[in-house]
This record gives sequence, C-alpha cells and structure tokens, in this order.
Amino acid sequence: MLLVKAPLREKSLLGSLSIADIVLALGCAVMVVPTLIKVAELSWSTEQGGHGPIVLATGLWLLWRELKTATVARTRPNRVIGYGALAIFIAIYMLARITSILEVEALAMYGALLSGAYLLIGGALMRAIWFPLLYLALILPPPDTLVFAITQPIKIAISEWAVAILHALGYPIASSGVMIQIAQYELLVAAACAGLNSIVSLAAVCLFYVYLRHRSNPVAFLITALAVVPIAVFSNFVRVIVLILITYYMGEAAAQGFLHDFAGLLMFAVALLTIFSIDSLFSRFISRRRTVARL
Amino acid sequence: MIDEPENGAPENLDRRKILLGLAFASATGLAAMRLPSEPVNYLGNRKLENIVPKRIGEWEFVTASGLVVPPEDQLSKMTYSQLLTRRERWRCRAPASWPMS
Repeated sequence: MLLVKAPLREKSLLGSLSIADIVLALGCAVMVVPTLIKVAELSWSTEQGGHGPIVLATGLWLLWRELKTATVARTRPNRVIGYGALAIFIAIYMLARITSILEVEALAMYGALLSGAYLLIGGALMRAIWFPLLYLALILPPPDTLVFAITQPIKIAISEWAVAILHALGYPIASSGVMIQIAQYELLVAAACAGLNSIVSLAAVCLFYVYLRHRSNPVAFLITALAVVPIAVFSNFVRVIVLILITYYMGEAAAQGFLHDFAGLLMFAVALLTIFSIDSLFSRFISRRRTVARL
Repeated sequence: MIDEPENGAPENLDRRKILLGLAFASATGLAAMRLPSEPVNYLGNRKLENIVPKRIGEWEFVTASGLVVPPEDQLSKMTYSQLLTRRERWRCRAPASWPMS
C-alpha cells in the first residue's frame, strides 16, 4: 500500500519526490513484486483465487480514494510495536520465502508492509483506512487446509439440500455423500465444481459494494456485511440446482461445457441481485423508521 | 519529510523511509540468495509408464482402461505431476525364472 502513496505524491508534487521516497518505493517493489507474481501464477489462475486481479485493482483504488479524502491527522506511532512487528514479519517472510510456503510468505509480506505503513503514518490514519487494508488482504492465498475444513461441510450440505428439494419436486434424484444420481447421470460435486471455492470471490465483490454503499453508516455496513456469507452459500446453492437441471434436461455434455461457465456467471448475478435487494429493503426500512420517528 | 516534535524526541521520517526500504529490499535479497536453486524433479523427462515395469512379481499388466478413478480436480493436478493407472492380473503359477521386482 506504500506503493500507492508514491505515485500519488508523484502526481501532486512531481519534483519534490525525495531520495527517501524513492528508496522506500524501490524497497517495497523489490519485496512485493516477486511474491505477487508467484501468487498470480499459483492462485489467481484457479477458481479459488480468480478474484485476485479485481480485488487488487479495486482495493488500490479504494485505498487511494480513502487516503485522498482522509481528514485524520497523523499520530505518532509506537516505535516498539512498529519495529517489533516489522522484525517478526520480515523474519517470517524470509523463512517462508526460502522454504517456498507461499501462503505464509504472502501473509508475512503484507504484515511487514502494514507495520512499515504504521511506522510512517501512525495508528489513527491506519484506522481510517482499515477497510481497503482488510479488503486487499483477500488477494492473499488462504491456506488450503483452512479452506477445505470450512468449505467441505457446506459443500456437502448444499448438495444434500439441492437433492432434497428436487426430490420433493418429483425428480428422479438421490445422493450419497458427494455423489448425486439424477436419472441416468451421475454427478460428482467435485472440489472445482461445487463453486464454493468462489466463496471468497463472492464475499469480496459483495463487501466492495456494501462498503461503498454504507461506509458512513456502521450499523448498516455491519448487517449487510454479515449477510455476505449466507448470500454466497445461497448463490452456490442456486448454481448447483441449475447444473443438476441442465444435466437432467440437456445431458452431461451441456452441463460440463459452456453452460457450466454460464452457471458460474449466474451465481455471481444471483449473489449481486440478492445483496441489492437486501440492501434496498434495509434502506427502505431505515428511512421508514426515520419518518416515523419524525412524526 | 517533516519532523514533528509533539512529545519526546523528533521523528526523522526520511531516515525511517530509507530504513524501511533497505530492510524490505535486503530481506528479499537475502531470502533469494538462500533459496535452493536446484528444483526437486525426480522424474525429469521420463514417463512413469515407461519406468514402472509391466510385470511386478506375479502380477502382469492387462490394460490401462476400465478403471474407476476419481476425476482430476485442481488439487490433484497441483499435487501429482504424473498419474499412472493400470489393471494387473495375477499369475497363479509363476515360473521361478521371473524377476521378482
């Protein structure tokens, strides 16, 4: 995030870029760029981390916007905390880099950048830009063990719900574990197929919208932000049902081909529409309550 | 940049920036130097199919098709570079001259 500050200053006071700024920007670039390239190669090309580029772009934009409009004065950072955190994160970063544990490496790199930023701009300003900082952390690849531990039960529950609903509607469908049998087709709710890998992507898109919409209203922000997870689960549920129905009516080839991607797009549309409607309901409720209070 | 003598000693932000930049760059450089350069690649260009003998003990290769294997997903693609599946048949009476490995 220090990288953003440098171009920002370049624009406003092009000539007054001091040697210290250049050293700082170069140091950050040397640390950030190789790790980010590795993250892009390993994580952004998969369904799990496909949101990376978008989150990076929108996150940097948010950060730039927040920094430009921030009215908080700079406070003095606590040097012990700042340098202590910096030393710890840099040590972890080096260890993880040498052993090529990318998840830890990226996390420690971000931690080192944050402690550097804290040392430069102080705690108050860091708190003022907390959302972009948190949001940008979504581009870091999450540890696989954590992802699987969280998403596996949800994945199985979603396929069971889908089977239960379609069975109640009279479709010839049954399931055992992650295997779904519909008519003559056998579907496997595979890791890549269940779409729950995209839960982070969905959460990122929804969080971005919610933040832009409700940043001045903490209560509304909190409530809609908490709604993000059930929305991601619900849209995945819709996607699984759509995929099952496509298989049933149009065959397996259709479900694995273009329509598979279409179902993924549909999932994003469903997620966004759901959050729009929750948001509009919420706004109406709030405004009504306010008018009542005025009367 | 600016020194801010609010309380305590004034802060030298320029010095701090240079310190941070150098710390980041040197940490990365040091880690890159210590990074093992030889990638672990036991197989190289060899194919697993050619390495694994067609006959192992009393088991003999029959076919590579007709096996039920879990479909490839992103995790298995990431974990294994090559995947070999075979169906073998057991020879009840193997001659003593057959290699045992």
